[in-house]
Amino acid sequence: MENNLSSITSQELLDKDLEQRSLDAICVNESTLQHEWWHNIKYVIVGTLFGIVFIKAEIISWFRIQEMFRFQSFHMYGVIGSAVLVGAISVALIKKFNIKTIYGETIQFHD
Amino acid sequence: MIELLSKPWPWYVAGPLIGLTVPTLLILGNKTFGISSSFRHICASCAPAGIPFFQYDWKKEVWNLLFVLGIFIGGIIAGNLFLNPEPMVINENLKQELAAYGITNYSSLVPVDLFNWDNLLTIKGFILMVVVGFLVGFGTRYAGGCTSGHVIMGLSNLQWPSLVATISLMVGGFIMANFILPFILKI
Repeated sequence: MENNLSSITSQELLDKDLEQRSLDAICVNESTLQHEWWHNIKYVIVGTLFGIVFIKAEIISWFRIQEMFRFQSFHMYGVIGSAVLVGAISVALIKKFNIKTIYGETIQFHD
Repeated sequence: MIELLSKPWPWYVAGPLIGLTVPTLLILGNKTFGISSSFRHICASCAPAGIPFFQYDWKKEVWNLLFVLGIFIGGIIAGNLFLNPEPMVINENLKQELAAYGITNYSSLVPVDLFNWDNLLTIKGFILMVVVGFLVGFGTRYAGGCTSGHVIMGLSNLQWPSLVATISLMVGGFIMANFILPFILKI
């Protein structure tokens, strides 16, 4: 194992790792930057806000999901529809204006 | 302020906020929004078991685990600090139908009449909690993403596979809620 690994370059190893991580997954980290651990705290904060929205809009509620699949309420369709609309417009704007990350990296999409 | 936060938020507030998560994660660090991948990273970090699918540098995806940790923290905050003291308001027809299955408690986001420790060892409870939990995990892995990854991120990026996943999800949910769940609830 060690001998095999040393015969290929580190870039090949990185590519192989990204390939492996992307396998059958649509959610991968495209950043190649190395950061101190505390840079990750921002994801905890985004997650926290996201979690509050999920609870407060009752999106995770068993009752709301039953209503949705029985077409008895517009709530969930409104949430999903407006979320996709805002997400799609954001992605289109990022592509069109080539918006960079806060670290100046080009934002990657794999489609 | 707390009173406003405690009320259930309408769709036109929650939907755009969820949509904004997509560009936020992209701009903060080139991260594509998703939740279920965290299960894979946990497997890769705890028990790769020699399976190639789990052999990658999971530390690069540690952001995803922290994002999910944040969702958990957000749940605790919203469920305690901004807790809605009123019972959930749902469609009257659904309420009557559920009452026929003995579901009358609306104090929680999930029906405590169904999901409780005593029910876990009954056939109905076991199907609803363990079997269905397995199906959720299996389907998510088989599709390569869950609702958040495919519907929110995938559709935002106009990806065909995500549209297929979204349609399948809706069809599956429709069949389950209308034709299969009534039989399970009658057990």
